[in-house]
Amino acid sequence: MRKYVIALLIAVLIFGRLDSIRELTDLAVVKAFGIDLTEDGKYHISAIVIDTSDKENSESGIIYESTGDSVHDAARNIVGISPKKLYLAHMETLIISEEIAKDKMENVLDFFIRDNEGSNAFYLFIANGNKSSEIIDTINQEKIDMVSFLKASEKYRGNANLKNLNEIIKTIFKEGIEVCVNSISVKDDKVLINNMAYFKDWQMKDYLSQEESVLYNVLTNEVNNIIMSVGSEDNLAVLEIVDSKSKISIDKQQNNKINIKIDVNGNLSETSKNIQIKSTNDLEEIQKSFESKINSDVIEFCNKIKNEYNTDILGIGNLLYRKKNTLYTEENYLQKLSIDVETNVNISNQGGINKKW
Amino acid sequence: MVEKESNEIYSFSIGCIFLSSFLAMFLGLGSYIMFNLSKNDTYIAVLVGSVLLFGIFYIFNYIFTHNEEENLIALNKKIFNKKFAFILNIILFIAFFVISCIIIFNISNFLNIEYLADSTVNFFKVLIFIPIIYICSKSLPVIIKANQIFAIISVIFVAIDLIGLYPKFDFINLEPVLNTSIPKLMHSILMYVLFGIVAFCMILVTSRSRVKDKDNISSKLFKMIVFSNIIQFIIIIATILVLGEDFIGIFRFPEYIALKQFSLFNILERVENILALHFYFNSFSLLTFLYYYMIKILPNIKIKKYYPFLISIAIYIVTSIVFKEGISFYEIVNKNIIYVILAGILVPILLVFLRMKKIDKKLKIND
Repeated sequence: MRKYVIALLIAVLIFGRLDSIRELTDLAVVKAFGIDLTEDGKYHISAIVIDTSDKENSESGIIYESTGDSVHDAARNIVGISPKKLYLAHMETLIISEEIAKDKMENVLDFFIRDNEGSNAFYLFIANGNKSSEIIDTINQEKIDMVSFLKASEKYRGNANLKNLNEIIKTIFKEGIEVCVNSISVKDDKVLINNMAYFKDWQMKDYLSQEESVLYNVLTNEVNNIIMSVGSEDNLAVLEIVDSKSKISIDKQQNNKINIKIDVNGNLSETSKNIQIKSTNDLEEIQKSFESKINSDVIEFCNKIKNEYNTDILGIGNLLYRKKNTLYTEENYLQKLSIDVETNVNISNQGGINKKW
Repeated sequence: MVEKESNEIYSFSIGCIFLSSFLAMFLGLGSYIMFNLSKNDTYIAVLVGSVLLFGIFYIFNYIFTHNEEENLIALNKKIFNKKFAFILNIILFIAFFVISCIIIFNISNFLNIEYLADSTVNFFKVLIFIPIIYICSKSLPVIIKANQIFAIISVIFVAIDLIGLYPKFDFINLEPVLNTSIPKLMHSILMYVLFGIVAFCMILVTSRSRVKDKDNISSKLFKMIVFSNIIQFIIIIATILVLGEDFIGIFRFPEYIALKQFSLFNILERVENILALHFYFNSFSLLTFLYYYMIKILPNIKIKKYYPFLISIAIYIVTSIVFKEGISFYEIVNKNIIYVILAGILVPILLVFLRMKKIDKKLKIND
């Protein structure tokens, strides 16, 4: 029996080959990847490849650019410039141009969904007002760690979230929910993480405003550490939200009514001279003013989603679908819904100060 | 100290045969068919199917415990006349051969898609044949022990999968509950039961008479069958909870795609290729038993020792001709596997069961 097994092993060597085998030294490990559309409809890619030869400066990379009829074709054409094939499994950032986001998003993402090497755990950005290649170039020049940059933006500004491509694709495939994607731009040679771009049926429509991006992330439980203020000048109070939870549900009595409940826990981080907190009544009053501000902002945002954007980025349709609500099957179901918002703000920390001045 | 004999078979090992064969029938095959039928309601199909399988266990357990012969093939020769036993064994041979072809192509396709995309499927087939041909030259107790090791590894891997995937569970993915039409759900349940029947058939590769710890063997086996169904339920529900209703149907190997999101305390990530090895181990175990059956059915002649080699060549040729690639494979399998299992395994097993009952009844009357 042994000789037959040996014969088979020889057959493996003769008839089959491990064609996928690649040595680490043959790989061009990609850190960031940008895709643009050329005027003649071709894909132009730019990739930051980790420069393994520069050991002292591990953050620097080499930029390769090429053009092709498809993303894969363009990636393969890199071999004409570099002896190594692009390896996307360790990619951190994917930037796609607005043109692609508006028209060819489905085609481009298909390449990444099919790729068996990567886990699609990288972050997707829309190039807001710039070409992807320009942004890729600035990221490389400024040696920006995009993951840390995005995490800081998500944590302290709330206008971006940490949904990776895998989670974005999952959302796109879900019934009754549209996706919002982070955007990025370059201004004065500085990279900026901008407001989120909203989509409908795989197509980017426009960008949310800064406040709307934050509200979107709060309502979808993607961020919980942001700053908000009420009043102005001498009546200003600033709240640093440290924890927020929102829940969207269908009203038990009325099946066309959506209840949004937001629980916010925060610290008072700044007050102007007219804001005096000497008793629980003062604190409750401030809490109420924050609650009414959040309520009115959310209502305004929801009305805009319903009437202006006409895209279900909050996933209300998904909720209706999951609960087998027949309203979901109707056309323009968003317009037929009434939305009620209830917010509870709890200021747990006033900075340890009893203001007496 | 007296050394244990190497040819001993224990009841736990028999349970392990069911476990690994059962799990092998699902990766990219049973689960893919079921997910496409019942989507996120597949876990309900698994629950109902499990209950039905517990009932069907009675038939297989009866044959297993009342069989005084070496295995199912020898039993057929004993209880039926020569001609009928020959026909029945040929039907079983065809069914086992077809299932072997399906499993070989499925696991080769899996390795091709997810591991080495630039290599050919045929290359993987040969790689799988090598250990199978080798192990077929060993005795049944050795094969069963090897399977036992693989079954234990599988359970450990599933437990690790569960820990690493738990943070990715989204229980909203179970909604909407019972959104699948009843015929599709019934079809899904039927598929689950049929794949279970193939696994049940594998335990008849031996009989109670060859097992060392015969006492309470039925209850021990039943416990292992319940355990196997729990493991399968965990795999199915974990895949649903990670991927969700809409994402689950687009991938050829959804369990593997779910594993891509494995993260153990944010330290151990991207280990799906190692964790998915148990899919290969289970398929290997099932294939060794299918080969064993086929070898036993073929005539006991001079070239007997070449049978594993010849069967492998036949499988290689048939799979190369019939299954061109993944999509055609799935279409063919989805349409025909019901008939293969029903006509090729369930009907012969029922005939054996009824015949044994009849003989038993006669013996009781004579007593």
